Amino acid sequence: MTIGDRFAEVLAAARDGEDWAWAELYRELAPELLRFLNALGANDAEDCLGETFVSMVRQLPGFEGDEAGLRSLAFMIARSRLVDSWRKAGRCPLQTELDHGTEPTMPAADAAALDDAGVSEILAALSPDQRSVVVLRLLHGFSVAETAEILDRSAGAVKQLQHRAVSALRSELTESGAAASPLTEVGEVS
Amino acid sequence: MGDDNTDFDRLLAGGIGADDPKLSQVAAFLDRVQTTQELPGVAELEAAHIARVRASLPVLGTPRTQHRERPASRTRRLLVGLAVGLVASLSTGAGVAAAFGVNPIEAITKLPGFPAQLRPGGVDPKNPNGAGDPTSIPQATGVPSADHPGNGNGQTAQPTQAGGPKPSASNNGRGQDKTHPTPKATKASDKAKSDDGSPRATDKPSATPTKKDKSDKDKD
Repeated sequence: MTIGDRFAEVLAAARDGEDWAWAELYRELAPELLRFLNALGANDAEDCLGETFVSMVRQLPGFEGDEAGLRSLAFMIARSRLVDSWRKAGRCPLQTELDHGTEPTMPAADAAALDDAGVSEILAALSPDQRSVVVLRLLHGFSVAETAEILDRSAGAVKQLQHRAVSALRSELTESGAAASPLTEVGEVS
Repeated sequence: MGDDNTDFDRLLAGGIGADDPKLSQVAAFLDRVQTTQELPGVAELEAAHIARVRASLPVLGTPRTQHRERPASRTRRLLVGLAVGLVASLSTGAGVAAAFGVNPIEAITKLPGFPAQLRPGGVDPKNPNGAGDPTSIPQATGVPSADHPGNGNGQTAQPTQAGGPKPSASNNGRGQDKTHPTPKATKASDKAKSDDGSPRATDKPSATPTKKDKSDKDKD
């Protein structure tokens, strides 16, 4: 659901401080932003979401663009607030090494049957920037250029990050039980 | 890297299946990510977050606040402008009048509607003849006296005459200007007194009256 043709009206009203306009922007952007913050491992995703909208109040008067541009701006602010929260907490969610020394946690064939915790665990194996690229492009459908703008990187850097993300995911998934994967067996047979 | 980016685009599009052993696991994982990472509900957070947004709005000076302040600032600007304009016009008028040899205060008193009681040479209700007013009495006569032989030109400088026109090329030596009827009438009456040999005109020919002279006038 998008605001569509009413975007200019809603944006102008939000700049004037109208509550109804901010409520509409919130309902439009907040679910996606909260999912983004959760996927990146925010310590307090809900507080970070509130800070994101407070920052939007300050940046909205200088904003010029369409609805997609405002969406990119909101994600850019959300990521900045997330980095700030990491700094305040004194830690950065560095990629967590999966325990490969023990029994495989799951066979690769079960990758499609991972639960939320399993997905989060494997995503945590990626660096924050790699995870951001995967989440922004896969879950939120941003283009390379939009992702580069949100992450304040170049388009080439984003392509390199997604290449490394795919390599890291393949390595993690393979090492966690690729030998038993029926898909792999099928691939090898073919 | 180019192939990997193409692979990533295919992964995003879901175009990689079991026929690609390298990426099939990654494709399955990304599918799982999309199904597990659903959009969370924010209804219970909305009220609190909108309240935070509302609390941060006054810091920006919303247009509503600016509308409230506009009329007051406009009125203040108008009043200040009027005051500055009035002072400037008065200063300019006084300067122009002084340049033409006209006493600006005297010129103002001749404006229509100006109260006669406030005019410098106006009729004093206590002393209609004007006698006893040291500021309007001419201090010299046309007849030279024996005590002051060098003062017989009939016009001497009167530096203490308040409100009178300053000596200038336009009126110096010609007596009072025709445009100043009140001082002229006073002078004419004084001249007549001096012609009659009244004590005031003949006994006080000096340009600067002394304290003693003033006390004598008061006694009169």
